[in-house]
Amino acid sequence: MDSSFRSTLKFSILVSILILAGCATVTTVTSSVYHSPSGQPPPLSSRILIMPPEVVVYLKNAGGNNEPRADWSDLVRHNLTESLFEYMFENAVEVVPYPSEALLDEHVALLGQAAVMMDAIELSQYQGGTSTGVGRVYSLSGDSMEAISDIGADYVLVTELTSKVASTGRIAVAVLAAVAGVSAETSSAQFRVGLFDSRDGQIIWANNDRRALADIGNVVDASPQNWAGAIEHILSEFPL
Amino acid sequence: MRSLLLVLFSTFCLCSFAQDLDEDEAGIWMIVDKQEQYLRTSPYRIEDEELDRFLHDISCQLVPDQCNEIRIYALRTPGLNAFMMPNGAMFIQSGLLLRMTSTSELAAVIAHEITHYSHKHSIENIRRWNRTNNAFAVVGAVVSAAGSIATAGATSYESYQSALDLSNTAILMLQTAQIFSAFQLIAYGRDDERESDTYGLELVARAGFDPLAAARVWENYLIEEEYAGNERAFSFLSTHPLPQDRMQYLRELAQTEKVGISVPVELEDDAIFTFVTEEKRKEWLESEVRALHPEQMEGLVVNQEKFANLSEGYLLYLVARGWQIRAGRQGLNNWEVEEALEKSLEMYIEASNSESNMPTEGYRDLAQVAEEIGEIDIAIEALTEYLTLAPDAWDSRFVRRKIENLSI
Repeated sequence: MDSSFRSTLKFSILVSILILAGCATVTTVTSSVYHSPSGQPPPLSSRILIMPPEVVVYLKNAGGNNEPRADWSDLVRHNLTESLFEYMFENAVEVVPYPSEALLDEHVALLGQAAVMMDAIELSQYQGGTSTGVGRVYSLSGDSMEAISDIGADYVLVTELTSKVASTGRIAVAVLAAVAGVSAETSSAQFRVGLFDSRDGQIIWANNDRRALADIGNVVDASPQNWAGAIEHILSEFPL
Repeated sequence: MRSLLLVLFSTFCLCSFAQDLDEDEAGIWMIVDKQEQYLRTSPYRIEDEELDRFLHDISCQLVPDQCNEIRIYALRTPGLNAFMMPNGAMFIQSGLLLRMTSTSELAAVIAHEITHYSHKHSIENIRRWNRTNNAFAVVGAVVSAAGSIATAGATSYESYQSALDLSNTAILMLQTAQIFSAFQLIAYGRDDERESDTYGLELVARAGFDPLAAARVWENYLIEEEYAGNERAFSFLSTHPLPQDRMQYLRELAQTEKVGISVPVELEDDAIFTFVTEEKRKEWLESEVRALHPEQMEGLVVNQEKFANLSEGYLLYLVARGWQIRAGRQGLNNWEVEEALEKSLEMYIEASNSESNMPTEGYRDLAQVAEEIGEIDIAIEALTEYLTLAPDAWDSRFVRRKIENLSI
């Protein structure tokens, strides 16, 4: 090997390591915890309904397309739910079980509204805006609250996790692309939660784990310790 | 040595993106199950148990062994369209239901969609795109990396320049191949449509429906296109065969041996009119007005006049309203706005003169258009007629004031 090839190779390896370590992530917001400006303090004995987490895990193939994986999504949903239940147990929060394994039709609108509210909070945080200051009040529709009224919970926890796991082919493409001086997206994870008061439908607390990939690692192989750490992190300043 | 390393690395890349095909199908089902649940609970879904049962009965007549796998939902959405998800959920738009002149035509559409499902067209399509994309990504990365290494290792300006030229040429060739492969993938999509037309027709004939119905769907649609002045030509970017070609080959196919294997159909050909009632038809037609170009709306109205029990005044009113809405659209030239207003006025007047009068609010709309064009007398006359027909309307005091202002 001549010296120029060796130096190119060294440079390429360094770039690849940086890419794979996720150093390229730039975060402009330091805290993403949201507290409703008008939320009431939770009563001491509060019951929480944990909605089935919205989990989608994709395999990012060599070409960069995201192929949804049902087996991985089921596994991650199971591990995430278990970790959430464990956290609630450790923190003496009474959990009301969701009445079905899969999401019921009457709760689809609730999850949709929850997602929109969490989007709005994130957007306003990026704009340095309203959610952390005087703030707006976001709440679920009457129909959505009606749909959960029989379950008997005081609070509803909505969880979303979307993860893209780079295939070995994708990692190889990213390394080659790095040699050519181009970046290619590899693994990623978006993880967020929102807590709703089932009496008035208000979102009283929400958080978005901006370092979810570092907290959980590869979501498919994550250990119980990784999950516990990620849950501990995302539920920081949790009001219950 | 460098080349050997690169060859080994790219071989590793090419081998490592292979995935178990069943896993990808399960993943796609997971996503479309969510989409189905979203659409099933959407306010756009037409909640009508009898219509649902009718659609289910048609699918059972077409594919008795498979109909329990298929779920058909109707959506309140304009446009001649139906779509099938790879998990067996089919969605039929109200714009399609109102255009059907017989149960057989609806059966032809359902059979076409069922074929997409049974032949796994969308799954295969996703797989083809993924395979092609993967291959191009790997080859592209290898070529780019090789180019970078070759230029970095150049010992003279000449060798640097020739390495750069070679690398650029390779990338250009790759990009050209990528464009051609995209055209090829779109062509596969057209083939899938043709296969669904052909096999769907076989299902229709076998189930005892009228095999010529499929061609008739396109025949009626072509009337709309003709009114809209759309002369479609073949394009490499077309995802579907041309409507005129589909009408032609479906008509020819219907007249072949497949007709001979018909069995008596259990569903009456006019049964569809029990479910697409006058009230529903009106609601669905009104949602087409904003979605279609008024010329196409005219074509749709001409078709509806042949079989729907709606008054001429009402149908002409819809076209007039379409032109009025067009006149208010952003981005039109002055002459386009004038043309739209004039056509709207013409249609409103025709509607008001027809034996079956147009809806009362049409007179108020007619007055608006006439005022914009400067036909004040017509505007006053229309507003006066509006007040005569609806003296207690919510806006009657505004209408009286408007008449006073216009009369000055």
